[in-house]
Amino acid sequence: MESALCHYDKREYIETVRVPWCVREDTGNKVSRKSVICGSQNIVLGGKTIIRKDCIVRGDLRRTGTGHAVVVAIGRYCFLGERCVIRPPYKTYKGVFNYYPMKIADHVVVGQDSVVEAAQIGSYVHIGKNCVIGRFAIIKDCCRILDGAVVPPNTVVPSFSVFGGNPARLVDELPESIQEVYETQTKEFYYDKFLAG
Amino acid sequence: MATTVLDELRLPAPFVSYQCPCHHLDPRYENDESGDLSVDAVTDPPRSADILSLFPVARLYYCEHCHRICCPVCIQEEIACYYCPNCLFEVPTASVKAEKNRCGRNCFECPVCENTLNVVSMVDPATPSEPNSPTATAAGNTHYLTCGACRWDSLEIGMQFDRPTGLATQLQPLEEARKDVQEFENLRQHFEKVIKVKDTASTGPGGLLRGLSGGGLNLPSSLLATIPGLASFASLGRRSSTRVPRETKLERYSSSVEVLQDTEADWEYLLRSGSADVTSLQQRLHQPNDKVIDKKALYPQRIQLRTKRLKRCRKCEHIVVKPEHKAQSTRFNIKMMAMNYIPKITIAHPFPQSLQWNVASRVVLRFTNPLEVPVSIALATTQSLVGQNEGGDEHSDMTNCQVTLLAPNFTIDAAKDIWNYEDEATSDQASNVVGVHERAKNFTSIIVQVTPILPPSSSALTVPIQFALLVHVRPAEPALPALATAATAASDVDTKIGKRSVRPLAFWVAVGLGDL
Ligand SMILES: [Zn+2]
Ligand SMILES: [Zn+2]
Ligand SMILES: [Zn+2]
Ligand SMILES: [Zn+2]
Repeated sequence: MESALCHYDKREYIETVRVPWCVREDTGNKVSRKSVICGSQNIVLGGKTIIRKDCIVRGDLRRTGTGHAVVVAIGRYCFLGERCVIRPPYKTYKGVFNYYPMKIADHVVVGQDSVVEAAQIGSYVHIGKNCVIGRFAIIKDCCRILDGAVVPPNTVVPSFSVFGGNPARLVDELPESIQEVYETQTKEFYYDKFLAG
Repeated sequence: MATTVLDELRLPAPFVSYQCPCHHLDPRYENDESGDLSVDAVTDPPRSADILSLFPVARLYYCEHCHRICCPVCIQEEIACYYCPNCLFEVPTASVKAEKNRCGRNCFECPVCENTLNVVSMVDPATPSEPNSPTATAAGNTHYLTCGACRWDSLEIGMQFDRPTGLATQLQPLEEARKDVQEFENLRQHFEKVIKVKDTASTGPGGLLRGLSGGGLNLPSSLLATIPGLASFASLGRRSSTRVPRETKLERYSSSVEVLQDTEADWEYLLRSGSADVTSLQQRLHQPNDKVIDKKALYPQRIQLRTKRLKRCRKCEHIVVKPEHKAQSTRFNIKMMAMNYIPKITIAHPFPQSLQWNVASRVVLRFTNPLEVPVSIALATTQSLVGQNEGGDEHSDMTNCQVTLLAPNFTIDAAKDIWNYEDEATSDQASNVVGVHERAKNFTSIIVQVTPILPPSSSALTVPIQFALLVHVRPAEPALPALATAATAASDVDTKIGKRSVRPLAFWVAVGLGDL
């Protein structure tokens, strides 16, 4: 079954146009005005990325001492569902408390009400609803996290894995076609399913 | 790992699942050298009990040699490489056996909750040491394993390490001293001798995985004969009857170490102390050597390796999937997925508002063509095939609704690069055809009238509404007028023809619309 059409109020969303200092084509991001984006100067959106309402993206939680740095980097065709929280991971290393940057690659879907504190999320990753992705978790390319999964801190999720449960563990493998499946899904959603009006 | 537990396979409604032809094949088809499964072989619709032979299109493969769909059940697998799912290091095949299929580095699994354990240092608890960075600042610092999910730590069982790296090597002498491990090792050596006695030619090329799928028991009969319950199979094991008498008389196995058995007193203690200290079945199964009952005896296991696997068509042994050798690569040298050969069928917008018994609803099915040539589709339902399928048991049929196909025959245009669609006007005139909802790009969506028929005696509260559909795919005949315009619009289509040629193909799909 195809995902249902999703109509949004055009006034609610800010659509990014080309930023002059950015060489990469990062247009077409749609960010809800009802989302909370902290420290937007530290956040990079790759383009065609949608941030739904009541999302919280904490770009302000950056490493102390350093100057301008990217705290949250999100790639192309990423969708953050309603009320999800993107918060950079932190730890105390050699007695010093610090935040560390988070990188999310392309074609990543984060379901609604999920909290993500991962260090790295690869491309073609689907995270379900109500998930907790613990601090410094690494999710490689082509993965799926089932609804309600709790991925403990420092977990590595290798490619083609399906993780579920609390604590999340391997429950299945994804088919080899998953890259194309997820790519089609995210593109289809951006162009055909997420409609203004 | 069985690939049949994914939620897609529990068939959440609504779904469109494809039936692999292997399901219908009895041996006479298997031996059919012509390999023509196109039309005649597929006549039985999926039955309600066939839920496990139905797969979403993403799970299916396509063998270009036999021109057939292969499902995860009818392919055979070969291990291409082993790697640790946590540190992602590849383990050479030669050392996999010695390391007992587990990571020989720093990766351990929590014995309580199966989460991956972290290494932490004792001296400065505020300083979690990184396994890969040189943190050995203070000599004499001790390190231990801790679980970030359930807070178990290895100090509970008195396990600690001098160095934060190479934990598996540090634990090795400890592990080898365990009586259960020794007993297992002795048993293994004993049976290896048994196998060697006469087993030079019986296992052909290819590993166990290939051997198993090739049919027949591949264990040497000498081994079977020594296993009490399987002795009677020993003669079955060998397909050839070259039974050589044993050259060397094997001595009986006797345990050299005494493995502790649970005593009555242990059980009594457990019964008295309650279940708080008793391991769960899941935890016990993860302690492969001794199935401990006392929680204090649980010890962390090295993480099991995962594999990348090569997949072959079981019929012709041609490769359908070949992953790149590197453990971390997600690319494939060969990847023939059915998705790229057969039309993708989806339930499209607008979805039926609500299904009602004996009331017709409109369902839109979208057929998307992955091929660079137009194809024509012919659909049939179980009702329209009744004449051919005489004697079909109605109760086993999974279809429980009256299905009317308004457009049983239609064509889908070829798939093109995305920018080639721009100059084509979306063919609105095509939607004038009765039953065709929309026709654009490389898809055609059709309207299907579905009337759920209330089963006369149904005790279940909800019944999944589903129907079967027979799909015939053929290359589109160029005489069709709609196609001619499409062909002229894109001049580069001709160059691509032949890359993936269309063979006539027929398969059943099961469409589920939800519970009622
Ligand atoms: Zn099959
Ligand atoms: Zn490892
Ligand atoms: Zn644990
Ligand atoms: Zn084949």
